[in-house]
This record gives sequence, C-alpha cells and structure tokens, in this order.
Amino acid sequence: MRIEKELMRGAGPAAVLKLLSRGEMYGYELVEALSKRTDGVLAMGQSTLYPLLYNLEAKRLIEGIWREADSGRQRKYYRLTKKGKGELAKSAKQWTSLVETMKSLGVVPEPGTAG
Amino acid sequence: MSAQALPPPEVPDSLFYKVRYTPLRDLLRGKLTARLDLARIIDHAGLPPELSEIVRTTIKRTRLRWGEKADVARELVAHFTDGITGGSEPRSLAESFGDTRLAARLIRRARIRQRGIIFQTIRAAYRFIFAIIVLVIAAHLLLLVRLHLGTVRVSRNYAAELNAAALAAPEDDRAWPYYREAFLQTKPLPDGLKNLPSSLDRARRPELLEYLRANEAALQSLRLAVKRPTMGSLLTDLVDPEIEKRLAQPSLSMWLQPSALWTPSTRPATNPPVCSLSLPQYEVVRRFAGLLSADASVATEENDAARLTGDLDALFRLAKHASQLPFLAGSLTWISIYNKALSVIESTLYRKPEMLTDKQWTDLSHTAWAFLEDRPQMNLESEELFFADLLQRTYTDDGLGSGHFRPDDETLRLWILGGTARQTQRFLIQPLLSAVMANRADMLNKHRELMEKLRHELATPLWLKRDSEYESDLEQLRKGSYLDETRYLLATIVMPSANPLNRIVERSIQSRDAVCVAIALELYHRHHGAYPAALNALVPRYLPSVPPDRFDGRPIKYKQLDGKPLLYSIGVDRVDDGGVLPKGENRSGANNRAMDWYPSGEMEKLTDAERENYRGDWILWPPVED
Repeated sequence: MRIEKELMRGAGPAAVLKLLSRGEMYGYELVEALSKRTDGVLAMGQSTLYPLLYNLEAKRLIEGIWREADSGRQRKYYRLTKKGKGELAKSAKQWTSLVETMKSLGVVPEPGTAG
Repeated sequence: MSAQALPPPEVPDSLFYKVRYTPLRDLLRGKLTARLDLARIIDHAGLPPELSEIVRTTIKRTRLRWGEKADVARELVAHFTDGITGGSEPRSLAESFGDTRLAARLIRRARIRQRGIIFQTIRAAYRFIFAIIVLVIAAHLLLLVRLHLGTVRVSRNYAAELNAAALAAPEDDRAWPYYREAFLQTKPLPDGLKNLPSSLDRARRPELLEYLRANEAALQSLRLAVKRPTMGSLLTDLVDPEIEKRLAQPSLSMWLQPSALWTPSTRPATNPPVCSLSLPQYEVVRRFAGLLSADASVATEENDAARLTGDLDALFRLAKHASQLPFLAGSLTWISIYNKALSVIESTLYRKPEMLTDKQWTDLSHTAWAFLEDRPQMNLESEELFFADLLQRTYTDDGLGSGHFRPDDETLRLWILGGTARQTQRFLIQPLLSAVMANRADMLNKHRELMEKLRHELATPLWLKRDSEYESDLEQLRKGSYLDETRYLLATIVMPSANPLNRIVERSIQSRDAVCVAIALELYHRHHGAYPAALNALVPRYLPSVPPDRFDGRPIKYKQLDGKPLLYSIGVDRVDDGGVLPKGENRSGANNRAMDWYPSGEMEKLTDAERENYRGDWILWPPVED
C-alpha cells in the first residue's frame, strides 16, 4: 500500500530520523531500509528521498559527511544531530498521540480486533 | 544488468583543466582537486548509460551552483553504484528513481535552503522588492483602468453665463466698444518713459503736456465711453490683435499665458474654458485711469475746475464699469482706479482747496463715500463659476455630482500639471493623481468652504481680526504632506491669499474715510475760520459720523499741528504715538510700513527688532510724500 503524498510529507522525515537514530546511513541504505522495514509502505523514490535529506540537513536535524567506504568508494553518510534527536522525540510523541486518537476514533483498529 | 557501462573518457591532465574545475577554496589551500568536473564525476563512475543520463539530466535541471551540482552528482552516482553493487537492475533503479524533473526541482529547492544567511537575506530582499514591484504595477494598472472609467461632460457654458449680463444690455449701452475705440486712438508714452510723469515734476512737465495733447482724441472718446450705462464687454477665448499690439505685455488671460505648450485659439469656441478667456479689459481700463489721473493733475495745476471734476467723474465711472468685470482681478482693478480718484482729490484738496466750491467738495465727498459704501465688494461669485467650469472639464461626471479627476482637456492639463502633462508622465502620474485627489463633490465642497472663510475674512473689519483661519487652512493644505497638498490641489491653486486682499480693502476704506474727513475739515474751516477742536464737531453737518481707525475701531485720530489738521491711524503697532511716523527710510516708506497689514495675532509673533520698524502711526492727512 502506498501512502498518500500529504501523509508521506509528514511521515517521511520522522521515518528517516528514526532510521538514523540507530546509526549513520547512506542514501541507498536508507532507501532499502525504508522499503524493507515498512513493507514498502514508506518506500520512496530517490527523487523524494534526497530532497528530503537535504531539507533535514538545511534544518540541521541531520548532517552529511563524505567518507570512504570499505569498498574504497566515496559515500555520503548521514547521521542524526542533537537537534535531530530532539525533533525525533517530539515527532514520536506527536505520532503516538495521533495514533492513539485514531484508535479511539476507530480509524486505527485496536490490537486483536478486526480491522 | 541490461546495459554495459561505457569506458570512461580520457581526462585531460593539463594545468588549465585542473584550475578550471577546482573550487576556489581548494585553490586557496594550494590543492588542484578538479572535483567540480561534472562530466568526470558522472562518466568515470562506470554507470550504465541510462543511469548516467538520469544523473546528468537531473543535475542539469537543478540549475544549482557548480559546487552544489558536483556534490549532488557524486551522491547520485554513489547511490546508483550502491544499487548495482547490491544486485539491482539498472532499469529497476531508473524506475525507482522517479521523475527527473520533479527530482531536480525538489533537490534545487532543498539545496537552496542549505545556503548561507547572506544568500537567504539577499534572496528574501529580492523577493520582497519583486513583490512590491508587482503590487505597484498591479495597483497602477487598476488605477489606470479607474482613470479611464466614466466620462467628462462639459454640460454648462460658464463663459456664456459670465457674458449674460453684458449680452442683456442693449448694444448702445455697452461701453467696451467705445473703450476699445478710444484705446486704439491712444498714443504711446514719450520715448524713455515707462510711466507718466507727475504734474509736479517740473522738469518732465512739458513731456506730460505733450503726451496729453497727443492723446486728446483718445480722451474725448474715453469721456464718451464712461457715459455708457454698462461695461458690456464680452469675454471670448480670442485675442484682439489690435489691442494686444498696444499692450506692452500679453494680457490674454489671467491664467493661461501663451507659451511653447499653449497657443491661443484662432476661432471662437462655443463653450471655451473660462480659464482660457482673453481679458485685455483690465489693462485697458487701468491705462485709462492713468491717463485721466494725469489729466486731472494738470487741470489742478492749471486751476481748471471743470476739467478736474470732469476727469474725476470719468474716473469714478470708469471704476464703476471696471467693477462689472469678473473675477477678483476685476475687483482689484476697480479698487485701484478708485484709489487713483482718491489720490487726485487728496492732492487737489491739499494744494488747491480753493479751486472747488463747497458744493463741488461736498459732491466729491458723497461720491467717494457712496462708491465703497461699507466695504468694497469683491467679485467672488465669478470665481466660483470659474471653479465650477474647471471641475466640469477636469473631472468625470457620475451623474450624482461627483466623479474622479481626469483632465481630458489639453489646455487645462497643461495648466494644472505643467511639464508633467507629457504623454509618458501622464501615463505614470495621472492615475495616481486621480486616486489621491479628492473626488469632484469633495473638491467642490472644499472650495466652497474656503470661499466662505474668505468671504468672512473680507467682510471683517481689521480691528476685529486676529489670526486668519482661512490663511492657516490654506497653508495647511498647500504645505502639508504630499498627500495633503495633492488632495485639494485644484481648490488650493485657485484660491488667493487673503492678506493682500484685506490690505487693499482696508487701505481703500481708510483712505476714503480720511479724504472725506479732510474735505469736511476744509468746509468747516471755510465756514468757521478755524479747524474744530475735535472731529465730533463735524457731525452731522459735514460728516454723517466720525469714521473709525481701521486698527482699533475707535474714531480716526485728529490733532492740530502748527494750526493745520493732522489725521492719523495708530497703525499696525496698534499704539497711539501721537501722529509720528515710524523711523527710517523716507517718509513715504515709513508711512507704508505703518499702514502695513497684519492681524494683531500675527504682529505678536514678530521679534522686538522687527516690531521696532512698525513703531509709529499711519499719517492719513496731510498727504505724506518723499
């Protein structure tokens, strides 16, 4: 299932921040992770991912560093900044609150109930 | 893989190549990295052609700076290389990349956000300026559209209304054709003379007599003209070439003077703008007043009483005709002729009182008194017609008495806007002017309001005046902000200054009063062999009442000096100095200063040193000469 563009706009950055909270990652790695770990729900083309990364970089939530990989090639690795960590925490709270609200409204089914 | 990577192209190794593709920062560090070479970044990555093309197209479309493009290109190359290394098909990678156009746009937007604060500030400033320019252009276009909405309708013929009284009079009653004939008979002043010499100037007297002899025919025609019951001059926008030829300076119109921008019409318009009317009459009657006054002064010198009284009668009649001329300029013209008559009476009474009989002096006194009545009446009604005509030609008519400013008439546009009337400036300025200027109804109301205040001022005796509400209103409108100044531009440019008008009115009244009192004193002296101790003794036989001093409202001041009467006003300093002129200059200059006109509130604003110049009295009798 693909997420609608507007919803993706809010969910994409939170998802990227969360992935980077576990350690630094490069672009392709992020694409793969988003696709696999969300069963394709939050899969995004590179035409969306890289602008998203640059935006997060512009807001100083992440920082990108060019470094030589084990293969000897240059890659740009992204990692969460301190500000990014704060933003992730805030975002997580908001998403939790949103999900709880959706649950209470029945939009998101409670675990164990039919959807 | 569906496509094989092409072998990387040869990379030149020249110094020029390295310098060209090395960022300034690296150059400053002494490193020739050549890392800005996009072709090298993309082509040397060994990507399949379709992926290289995606990177190339995306990068090109970002329109970013060179360094930013290189950074993004390296990252996309790394991304695709990682994909291929991870076992993905180039086609699948190309498909999952998405639309390159969208990618380029989003990347550009995101990278620009990453730029420094100086760039962001300049960018914001540019955007702000651009927005302002767009807003201004949009507003201007709207105003331009508004300007051209509505129609200017010239529905009333105000020139015809001004001519109505003259047209109603039988042709034979009209004096102007006679004045015109008489004027065409006049001979020019002797060479080298700008003004007529005084009859008292013995050295120039022969020239004066010669001039009067040369103008005898003109004087005869003039005496016939003044006998007509009405002025009867018709105002048109045409120039009378014969009259103009004899007038030294153009007197085509009070408002429009011939210029590079405007030339008078050659055919009479059926409904000409009032401001384009030709008005040579003012100057013609002024010159006749000079001629009559000179003839009267010679008559006095020659003890010719009949000629003197004839000239004085002609002067008063001429003033009466001039009072029928429209506009304030007409009023000022007749008052100046009246003042000339007063000067002749004053001069004769001082130098040759015995020339005239009691009855003749009494008649002159009555004529002079009755002419002004309480106060000279200024012709403000025709000024209102003039303004109404101006409005109907410069404003659109919404049918409800209002409209917006749009001077379609070329002549009026030139008059109001002057140099700004040129085509391009009109395009830029007129829409704004039209929006800022008061609408037609408001403009008319403002003009009426100012006219009412002016009427009130002109009707108030000097001793009751303090600060001028009219003048301060006008000052505020004329010297306020650009918006204030422009809002009522039309009303303010046509309104006269009240102070000079008041000065003329008050001086005329005081001079008239003084002449009448002086005649009464002369008659009293004839009958009693001495002058009275006080002016009250003249009432009621010689005077209906003692006239007031214009500066304090109390009776004119009177005393005897060496057995001769002295009449004076306390003058502008409003202090009775016992009939002494202010110090300095010549006697005439000092007397003029003493009669200068300031409302009492204005006088208080002067410094002590300035006020010192006015310390003294205004001598009314005997005549003060240099």
